[in-house]
Amino acid sequence: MEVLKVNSITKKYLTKTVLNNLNLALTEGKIYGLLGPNASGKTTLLKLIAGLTQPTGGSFSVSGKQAGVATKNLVSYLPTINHLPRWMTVGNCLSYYQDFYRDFSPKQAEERMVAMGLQPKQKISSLSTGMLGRLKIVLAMSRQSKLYLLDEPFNGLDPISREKVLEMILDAANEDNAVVIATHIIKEIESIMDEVIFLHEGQVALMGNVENLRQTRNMSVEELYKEVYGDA
Amino acid sequence: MSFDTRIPIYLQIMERIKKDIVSGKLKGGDKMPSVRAFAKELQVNVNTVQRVYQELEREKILYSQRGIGSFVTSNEAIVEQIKEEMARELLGNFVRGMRELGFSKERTLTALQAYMEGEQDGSVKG
Amino acid sequence: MLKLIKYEWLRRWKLFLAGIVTFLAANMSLMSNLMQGAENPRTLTAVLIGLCFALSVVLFIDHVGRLYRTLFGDEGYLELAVPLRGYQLLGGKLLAVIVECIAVIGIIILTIYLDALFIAKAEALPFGFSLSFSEVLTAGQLVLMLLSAYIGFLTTIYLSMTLAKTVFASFRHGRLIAFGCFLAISWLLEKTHLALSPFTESATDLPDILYSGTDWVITVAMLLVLFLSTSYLLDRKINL
Repeated sequence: MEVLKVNSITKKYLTKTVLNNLNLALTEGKIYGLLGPNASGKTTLLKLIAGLTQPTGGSFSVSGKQAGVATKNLVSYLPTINHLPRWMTVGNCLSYYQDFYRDFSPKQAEERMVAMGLQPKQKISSLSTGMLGRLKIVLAMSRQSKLYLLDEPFNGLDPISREKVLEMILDAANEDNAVVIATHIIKEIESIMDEVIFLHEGQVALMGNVENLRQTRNMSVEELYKEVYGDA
Repeated sequence: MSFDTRIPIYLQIMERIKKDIVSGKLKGGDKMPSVRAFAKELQVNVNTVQRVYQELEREKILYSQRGIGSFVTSNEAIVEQIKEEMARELLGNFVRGMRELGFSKERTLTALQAYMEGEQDGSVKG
Repeated sequence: MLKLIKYEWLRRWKLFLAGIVTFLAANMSLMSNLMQGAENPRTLTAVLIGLCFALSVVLFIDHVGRLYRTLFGDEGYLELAVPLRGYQLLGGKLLAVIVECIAVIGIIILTIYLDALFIAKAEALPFGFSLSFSEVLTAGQLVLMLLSAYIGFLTTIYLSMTLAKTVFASFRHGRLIAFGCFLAISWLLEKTHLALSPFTESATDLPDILYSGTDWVITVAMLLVLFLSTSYLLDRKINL
């Protein structure tokens, strides 16, 4: 079944068009790599589906539900920036997610926090970039969502944290949901994604099953990326 | 396990399982880990492992029992067949390489013989 | 909605505590001045009273900041991604503000009452409150007027900021646009109010300052319009 259906979405600002009549259909049980250079529209697309910005034209639905509170209930969004208020403690963040998301599993989150070396009493303002990245991903992945939108989940993470994050993503992915990972560190997700989506100038330039692409082109996704976008 | 990202990952995992069977690391009747557990161990997607199991079942190297899991075949003929296939591939690579070096059939055979005898004597390390 | 209030207060209970402590200290200092019959309040008293004013300004800025941070800061990525309707988000924030205002007024009234009681006892004055029902009603109306004016003012600011991040989101200088919107909306509200209920110049007596029935209807209607339009924009049109 389709988890996400994007119908000719356009997002224009005064002078530039970020998404240009984009169409996309994502199905359950898959991990998608959303790739593209800066300003190709990755972040805007994810923000839009998370409900933080509105399309100039077009529409989308998540599991058949039209954009709104219903889709926010189904979508777990991990932004690149730090969205956690600096005054909060790690424990506050956990209870915040528990208070506002019905699908949040505090037990799972607590276990993961311990595994990640996060303590409930720590303040957000005192966390290092790496620890903050860990906390953000723990919160996002401890929801049992239909659709996970992860914007640069590996940013600022050391190799060990990255591995843990990968494990968590693999853990959460199952046959009922879909995971979208927008990243420029392709190597990191090369072995875990099912499908790759290349965005170019606000449109899907290429989309396909990565194993099939490897078979037919004898290329890694990273090499394919270079081919699609040139060496720029 | 690290992968060559230019080659489909499921093929690489299949190759590894075949090697483990041939080398005796995996024995006939052994139970394979669940798809999810294996995927986690290898740090790959569940669907990739799913595909590996499917392909191996098609090749009769694994067989699945509903609700219990996947098992390694006890059929010696199939194990022998994998061995043959892998040997043929290795030989193919070897012969191709020798040809590229300009070795004739005779010279290749003599070189191979000399190498293997030397290896027995312990004078060639390899 | 109520859960939102929990986090609003969890965040600033220290500010509230500081405010209450400062206010009580200022009051005590003032009272001791009075009891000693000092002609001019001491410096300490003046400083404490000044601090009280400063803290109320801080509280006001904080009230404005509650939606500002959501719209113009990174926290919006948390608050606006949460499955809440626009009216719940705005309602939660406004409800917290209203409760805080009522608490402030309550504390002030209570303190004055206790002070009066204390003075009466110390000076052995025959103290007895003889407020009539209508006087209480007038005071209540005044408080309600002040409160509704404050909420109206705050919601106007909220609507202006929201406009800058919704309808005018693709323009730069969002803060400037928000200020422009504020001036325009304030002007519009005032004109509407005057057109609907002409202000009578003879308002010299206290009761005349009080809102008439029409004034109340207009005020409530305006508050509703402000609230609903801001909620709608937050719900449907947000562009972070």
